[in-house]
Amino acid sequence: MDSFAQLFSGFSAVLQGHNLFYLFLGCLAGTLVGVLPGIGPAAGIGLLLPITFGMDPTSALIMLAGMYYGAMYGGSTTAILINTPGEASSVMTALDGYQMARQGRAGTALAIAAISSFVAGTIGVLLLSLLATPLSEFALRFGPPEYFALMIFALSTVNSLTGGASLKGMLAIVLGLMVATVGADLQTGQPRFTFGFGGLQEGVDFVIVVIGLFAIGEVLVSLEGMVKGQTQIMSIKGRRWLSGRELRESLPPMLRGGLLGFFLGVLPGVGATVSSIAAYIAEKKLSKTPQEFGQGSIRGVAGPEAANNACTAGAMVPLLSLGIAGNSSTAVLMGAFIMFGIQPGPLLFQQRPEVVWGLINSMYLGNLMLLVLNLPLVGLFARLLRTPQGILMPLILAVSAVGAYSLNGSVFDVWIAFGFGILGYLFRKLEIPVAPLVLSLVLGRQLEQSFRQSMTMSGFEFSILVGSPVSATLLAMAAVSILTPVVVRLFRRTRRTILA
Amino acid sequence: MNTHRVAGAGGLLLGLAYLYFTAQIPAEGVTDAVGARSYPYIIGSILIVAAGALLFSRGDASTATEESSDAGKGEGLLQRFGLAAAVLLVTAIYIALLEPLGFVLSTTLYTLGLMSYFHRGHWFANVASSAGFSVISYIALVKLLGASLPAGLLAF
Repeated sequence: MDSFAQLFSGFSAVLQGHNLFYLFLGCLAGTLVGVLPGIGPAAGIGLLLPITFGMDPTSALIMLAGMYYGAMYGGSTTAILINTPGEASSVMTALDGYQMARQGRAGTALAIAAISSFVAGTIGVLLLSLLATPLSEFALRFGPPEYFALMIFALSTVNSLTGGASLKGMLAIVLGLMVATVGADLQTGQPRFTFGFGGLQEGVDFVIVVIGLFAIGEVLVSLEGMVKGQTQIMSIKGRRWLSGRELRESLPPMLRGGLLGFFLGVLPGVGATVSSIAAYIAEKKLSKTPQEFGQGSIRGVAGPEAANNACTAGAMVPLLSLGIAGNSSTAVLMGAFIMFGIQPGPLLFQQRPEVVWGLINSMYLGNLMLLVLNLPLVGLFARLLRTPQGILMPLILAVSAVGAYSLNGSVFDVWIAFGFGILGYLFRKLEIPVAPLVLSLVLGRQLEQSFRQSMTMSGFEFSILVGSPVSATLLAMAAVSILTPVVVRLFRRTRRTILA
Repeated sequence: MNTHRVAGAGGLLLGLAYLYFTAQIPAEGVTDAVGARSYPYIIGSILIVAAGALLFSRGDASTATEESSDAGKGEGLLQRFGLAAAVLLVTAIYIALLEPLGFVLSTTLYTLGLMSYFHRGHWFANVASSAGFSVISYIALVKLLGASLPAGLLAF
C-alpha cells in the first residue's frame, strides 16, 4: 500500500511542465535513435549525458530513461519499412512486420507495434511499481559480502548469455574491471595506472568509454559496411489503425509478451533482444497456425514488440532496487545516477523517493507519449530513413567528439574516447561482446569496495564471502552460469566423438 | 583471421603489462587488509588465465576458410582495415586541431572531408550539412546550454 501512496505522490513531480518537456525530449530523441541506424540507446544516452550537467537530477533521469524505452519504439519502424531493425531488439519484428508492409499493411504493422509497446510498457511499469519496493527492502539486509556475491552473479549471467563467446565475454568483463581500477585508490589514495596523466587521477569517466565503444566503434563498423546501391523503403499504405478482429487477435500476444518480457528483463544479462526472440518463439508454439509466422502474422509483431518494451521496465527493477545494471543501456543509466551523486540501490527508495517515483511515474506517461508520437508521426520518422548514411555517420562522429570534450572542457577526454573507439572497433572485428565491458566498468569500483570491506571485516579470510545463505547462493548460481556452457560444450564434443 | 588467437594473444600481453604496472604501485601506509595492489593482482591473473584459454582454444569454424580465401596477407589486411585506419587517422588529425582551430572550423573541415568521400558528388548537401551542423551545435551548446567548446581562430 505504501508503494501506491508513493506512486501517486510521484505523479506530482512528473506532471510539472519542465519535467513533461524533458520527458517529451527524451522520448523523441529515443525514437530517433531507434529509427536511425548506426547508433543505439546506450550510445544515445551517453551522448545526451554531457548536456544534462546542471540539470535537476530528476528531470535529467526522466529524459535519459525516456530515450532508453523510446528507442524500442523507434527500432520497429525500420524493421517494418526496410526489413532492417533499427535496434537489435526489433530483429523479430522484421520477420513478420516487413511481410505485412509488402502486403500493403505497413500502417497496420506500425500501429500494432506502437500499441503493443504501449500496453506491454504499461504492464511493465505497473509490475515495476509493485516489485521494486519489496525487493529493495530485502536488499537492505545486504552487507559487503552479499553485494560482492550479487555483482559476481550479475557479471556471470551477462557472460553466460554471450553464447559460444563466453571466454571472450570473460575477457571483456576483466578488461572493464581493469579500467575501473584506473585512478586514485579510494582507500590509500595511491595513483594506479595513471602514467602521470592528471586527467586519469579521477579514473576513466564511463561516459567517455560509452561514447568511444558504442558511438565511435559502431560508426567505424557501419562506415565499412555501408551498403552501396539503393535500399527499398516500403511506403506506408493502408490505414494506420487496427480492425476489431486484428485487435482481438493481437491482445493475447501483447499480454503474454508483456509478462514474459518483464520477467526476463529483471534477470541481469537478458536484454530486449533475447526477450523478443523468446516471445516470438512462444507465440509460434502456441499458435494453431504456426505456418503463418514469417508470412505477415500480426501475432509475430505484437508478441516481440510487447516483450522488448516490457523488458525495459523489468531491467529497471534490479537497477533501482539493487543497484545492479543488467544490460548496457541500464549500465549507462546507472552511471548517470552516480554522476548526479545518487547511488542506485535499496537506500535510494528511502533517501531519494522523489527521484525514484518521479522516474517510475514518468515511464507511465512516457509510454502514452510515445504512442501519441509514433502513430501520427511515423511518416516523418520514415522520411529520416532517407538521410544518406554518408552524411549521418560523420555527424555522429562529430557529436561524439563534442560530447567527450564538453564533459570537462578537455581534449584529453576526446583522445580517451578515440582510444576506446579503436577498442570498440577491434572488439567487433574480433567478435568480442562490448556490453560486458561496460557493465563491469560500472560495477567495478563497487565490486572492489565490497571485496575490500569484506576482507577487512574478516581479516583477509575468504570464507566470509560464502558465510551467509544469500552470498553463498548467489556465488553458487554464478558458478553454475559460468560452468554450464563449458559442460554443455564438453558433453556435445564427447558425444560427437563417440558417434563418429 | 583467427579471432580467438588474436584476442587471446592481446589479452595475454595486456594481462602481463597490467601485472607489471601493478607491482609498481607503492605499498606504503596500507590502511586496510587488502591494500591497493591485491585486487589488481587478482583480476590481472584472471585475465591471463582467460586469455591463455582463448589462445589455446579451438577458434572459429570460419577461420580456415577465411585464411585460405585471402589473396595475400598484406592485401587482405589493407582491404579489411584500410578504410577504418584512414578514418581513424583523419579523426586523430581533427582532435589534434580541435583546440588550435576551434570547434566550428575543425568540425566543418572534418565532417566535410568525410562526407566528400562517403557521400561524394553531393557538394552542396555536404557543405550545408557540415557547416550547418558545426555552427548550429556551437550556438546551441555554448550560447544556450553553457557548455565549453574551443573558439579557436573564430572567437565570437
